[in-house]
Amino acid sequence: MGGLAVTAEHRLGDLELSVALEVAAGECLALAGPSGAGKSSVLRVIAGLVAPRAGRVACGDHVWLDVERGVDLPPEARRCGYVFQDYALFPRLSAWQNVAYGLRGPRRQRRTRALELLERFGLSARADDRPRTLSGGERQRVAVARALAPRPSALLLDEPLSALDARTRAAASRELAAVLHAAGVPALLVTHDFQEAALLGDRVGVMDAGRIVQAGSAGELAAAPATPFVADFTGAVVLTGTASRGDAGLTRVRLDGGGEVSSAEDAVGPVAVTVFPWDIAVAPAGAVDPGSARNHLEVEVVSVTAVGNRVRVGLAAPQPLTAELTEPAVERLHLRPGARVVASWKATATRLLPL
Amino acid sequence: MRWFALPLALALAFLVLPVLAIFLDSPPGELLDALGEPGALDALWLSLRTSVTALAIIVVVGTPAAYLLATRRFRGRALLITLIELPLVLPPAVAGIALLAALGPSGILGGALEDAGIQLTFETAGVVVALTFVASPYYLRQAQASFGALDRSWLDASRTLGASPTRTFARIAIPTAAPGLVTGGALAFGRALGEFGATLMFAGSLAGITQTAPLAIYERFATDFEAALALSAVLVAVSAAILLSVKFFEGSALRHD
Repeated sequence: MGGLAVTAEHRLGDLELSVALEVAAGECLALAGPSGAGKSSVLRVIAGLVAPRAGRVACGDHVWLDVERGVDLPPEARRCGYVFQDYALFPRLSAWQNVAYGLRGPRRQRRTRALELLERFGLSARADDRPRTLSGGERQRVAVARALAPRPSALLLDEPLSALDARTRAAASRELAAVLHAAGVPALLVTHDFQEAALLGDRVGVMDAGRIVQAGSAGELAAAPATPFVADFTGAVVLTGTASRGDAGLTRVRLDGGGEVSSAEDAVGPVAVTVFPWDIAVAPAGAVDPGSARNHLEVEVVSVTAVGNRVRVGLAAPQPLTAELTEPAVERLHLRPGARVVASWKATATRLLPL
Repeated sequence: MRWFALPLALALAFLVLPVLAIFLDSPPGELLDALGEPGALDALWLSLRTSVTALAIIVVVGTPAAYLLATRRFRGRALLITLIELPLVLPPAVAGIALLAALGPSGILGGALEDAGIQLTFETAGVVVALTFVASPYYLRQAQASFGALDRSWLDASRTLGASPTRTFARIAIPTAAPGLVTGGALAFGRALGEFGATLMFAGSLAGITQTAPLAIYERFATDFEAALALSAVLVAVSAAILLSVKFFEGSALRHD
């Protein structure tokens, strides 16, 4: 089994798509980014559903597309397993007929193979049912089984979990991760959700405006985002300001709109300041215990939202800032919209990205 | 809301009464006797034969054509669709004249047809040409709408699963669009069955050769009203049967989805 190597340049309305990526066999690369970043178009180019202006797509020794040499295999000759957004199951075919659609040979043989796959996905009981009678999770599994049935050389998945509700999503993503590794082929997955990308991808590529801005492990991206966009996308708070040399070897940043913070990183001029919500502590106004945190901002509470066992507290500094606290802490501090508090974090938790 | 019932009752009476009158005007026994008159059954049989032939031509050529129009975006597509739909609004007499000007003995293709040994005017083949001309837009329009309503990702999915465009058309597009295609076929067939003006002008009204049921009704109504009524009654029955079977098909397709 060979890896997937892709370069493509393509114009899509206002968007100029320009990507280069490689995915090894058995590896899953997750392309994450906001809608309209061109993620799905990358999949469509690889599958042969869109012919790019320039580029090359090769899987192992097989060249599927080479615009320069005039090679452009049609989708049916590329052996790509494609899981479409909303799954695109054929409405007039039963679950097993959907799975068997990509198989060749006598009907009995195709049915046997389709039933095998459905059994592996725990769907034996639904084999004769039409897609519209299946639940979201079942549809997703039929779609994955259908894509795997013809033993593809590469797997492409477009938002495979976004059509599922939050409850089924966790289980479905664990299953999907296992399936992708078992398949042993290069897999490219597209999602608008960084957490999903982190969960399913061995590597994550963050896409913005037609380009892969940064690629690496999810941890690397979160810890050392290359651009404010990546920082924002991975969930960090992003503030803008102007950096200058401060005391004790630290950098001082005057925030746009008021306030001042220090960072252990070097920078001069306009910068994006990033900090993770879980690194921000909140204390009542006027009762600041200096502790080891160097950065203290007088802020106003704007929103209080429970997320699982944590609470996200929206703050206005006046630039928007988010702190992540525990439920008891929120209770103890009487955090309500309108309350004035002090947000603190360490200079070493403050990253600077030149703008 | 209550007063809305009045316009509905008026519409119903206006639309249904004339149709009922065909059956009420003379006893059923006399209607059956009138059908025994020589020529009446010939005209009905000719109508059915030519309409079925025209429908076959329309479906075989029109289905892939409508699919292409519905799934591809190209320059001049809107203009092309308008041109194809033109016979829909063309007065039947104008359609007849247009066919004569194109395919008649002295029409622009008349010479070429004559050289090929093909005679259309005053021939059954000419009836089929006229029916196809006026009825095809009904099918094309409906088929195009049905194919256009297909989810593009079904077609894409079929391709990535190894199916060629032709196989995708046959295995996914046609079965999924089938209810719409049947409706379009029924509309075209109904239009062909009732065709009058274009047939009369292009193919003439020769008993047994080009005289379809509507032409036979027209020829008889001054001299033999009973016979005209009998033929009309049969056409009403056939039309109603078409309508009912389409409704039934649509209903069962909806239940299965």
